[in-house]
Amino acid sequence: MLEFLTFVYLIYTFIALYFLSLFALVFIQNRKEIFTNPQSGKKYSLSIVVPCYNEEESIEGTIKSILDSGYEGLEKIFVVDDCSTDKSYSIIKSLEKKYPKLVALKTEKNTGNAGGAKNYGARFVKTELIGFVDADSYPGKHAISSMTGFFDDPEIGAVTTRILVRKRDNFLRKMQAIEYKVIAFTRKLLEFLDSIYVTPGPLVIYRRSAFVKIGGFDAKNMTEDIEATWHLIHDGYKIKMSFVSESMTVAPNTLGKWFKQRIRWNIGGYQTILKYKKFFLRKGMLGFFILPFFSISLVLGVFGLGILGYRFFRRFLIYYLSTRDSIAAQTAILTMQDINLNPSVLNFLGAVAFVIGLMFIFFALKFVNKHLGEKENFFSVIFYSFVYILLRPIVIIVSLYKFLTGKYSWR
Amino acid sequence: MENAKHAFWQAFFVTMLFFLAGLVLGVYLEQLRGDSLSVLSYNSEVSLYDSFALGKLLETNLTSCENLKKTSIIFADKIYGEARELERFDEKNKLTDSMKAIHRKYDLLRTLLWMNIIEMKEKCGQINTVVYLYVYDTDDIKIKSEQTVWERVLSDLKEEEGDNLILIPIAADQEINSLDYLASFYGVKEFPAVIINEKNIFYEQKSADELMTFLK
Repeated sequence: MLEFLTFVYLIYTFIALYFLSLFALVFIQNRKEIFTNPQSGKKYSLSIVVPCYNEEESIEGTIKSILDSGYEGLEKIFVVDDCSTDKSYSIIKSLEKKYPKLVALKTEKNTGNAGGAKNYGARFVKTELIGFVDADSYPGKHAISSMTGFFDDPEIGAVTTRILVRKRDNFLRKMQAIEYKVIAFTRKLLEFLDSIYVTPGPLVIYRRSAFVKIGGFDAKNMTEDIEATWHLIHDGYKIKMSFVSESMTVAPNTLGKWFKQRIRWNIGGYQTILKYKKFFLRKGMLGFFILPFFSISLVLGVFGLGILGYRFFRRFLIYYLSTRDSIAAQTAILTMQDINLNPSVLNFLGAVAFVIGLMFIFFALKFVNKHLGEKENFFSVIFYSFVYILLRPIVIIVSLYKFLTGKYSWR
Repeated sequence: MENAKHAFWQAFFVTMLFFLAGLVLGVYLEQLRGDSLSVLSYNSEVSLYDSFALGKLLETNLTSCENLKKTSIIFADKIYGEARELERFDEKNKLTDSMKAIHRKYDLLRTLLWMNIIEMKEKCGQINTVVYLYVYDTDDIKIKSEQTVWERVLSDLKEEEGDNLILIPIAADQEINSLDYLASFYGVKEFPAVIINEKNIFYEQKSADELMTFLK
């Protein structure tokens, strides 16, 4: 009879191997399509909404990068100041003269979240497409034009692109840069499964009719971009991703800011799961893949950390008690018998799953970097794989606690 | 969408293939470990019968007590070494119960050894025996840590005393009726317990030096 923990371990290994196999197969079957973007003869009219709260340092750069992206159908850029406490609004106002397509807007009172400011700006948009760019993000050259061709297919509700880290001036940002590249690669693979589950704020374009149909962003949700994506999929739209371009974003530079951001992301995830829970194992890819995939990744993280913590605590306690009593009994505190180097089959399976996971990370980075002309430091990738990833379960647990106790806010 | 559905099933079959191959290999490896220990246990069984036979020879005066003692000590040391080897593999076998069955057999062999030595003591006089009755199947942190310390202390004692001592560790929770009877006969109330020369029973941790004072 298998022990409970052995059973759990086997399930974990199976799930890990399953997703790695799935991604490997999807890549093999679609590798030639990854950099393929549909070219459109039509020039869609587009307006971009930029929600802004205390972004006096970056806002002009963001506006400039949108304009420099060079999309000819771009009609307006609505920058919505959400009652910033710095000089953001006066800067935006002054930029109106410099950039004729720019429209400065200001909410009546602080909405408290990005979704509120985005919805406010969306009210002014009349174009066929509506885009959103965070005020600390910078769409790359041709990023927008590489995305609009997807809208020739009437089923497409939104298009996202690669999101990469702009400044990599400290170790934490370097870790996030690796993470964002791996996410970009994985997200593109998810596109082939019709399962892109988030259209991140640094650059997304929606078909305006679809955006209006879903009622805009759910401003109560901490990750309005996840919720909007799920809503679109629920309503029968598909999400695409342009892999030939990117939007650069400024990642948190301190652990505190990083932690706060991740807590918000996870709480938003919980909110979205709760909102759509009734579609679990129903309603196409949303119910059959996205919801289970998203939920399992959260549950496994928490449960895995719990088991790891339990086993570590148990071993530590046994070690502490036996060391204390060994000292009292005047005997050795460590013997050769204690050093057991016989691996179990679970060690082998775990090692295989981990090595394949590591190979996936290295491959994803190599694939993305080849296109970007960049290189990754080997030791940074190792640190990312062995240490940085392990922070995720901690974030999941803290955010779950905050979510259950209601102790959270957008800012 | 159709392709996507295919990818899900294909991935499932690929995973099942790898996973089942891993499991089959794992079970095979565990069986191999079990088989190698089965051979050891078979040899130990033969050695035990040999020591029984020597006991019979003693009755016909064809051998001496010294020979019997020597054989018993060699056998006890052998079985003790094999037991430690078994313990090393035991907790690493996750998929099959083969080790548990072998462990139980070893415990029975060790019980028989203990019984044989008790009988031998009556014929040949005193030999120092330390029987360590421990709990095999436990998750209790206190018991586990206590047993770790007992193992270290008894290992020190054996090293110190050498051939002057027969150390017999036996798992007490293996449903071996003869062992249960022996434990109850000598008044053992809880486990882990250390019985020195069937007279002194210890439940609380002692150092090797303290235990040595109870040996002859």
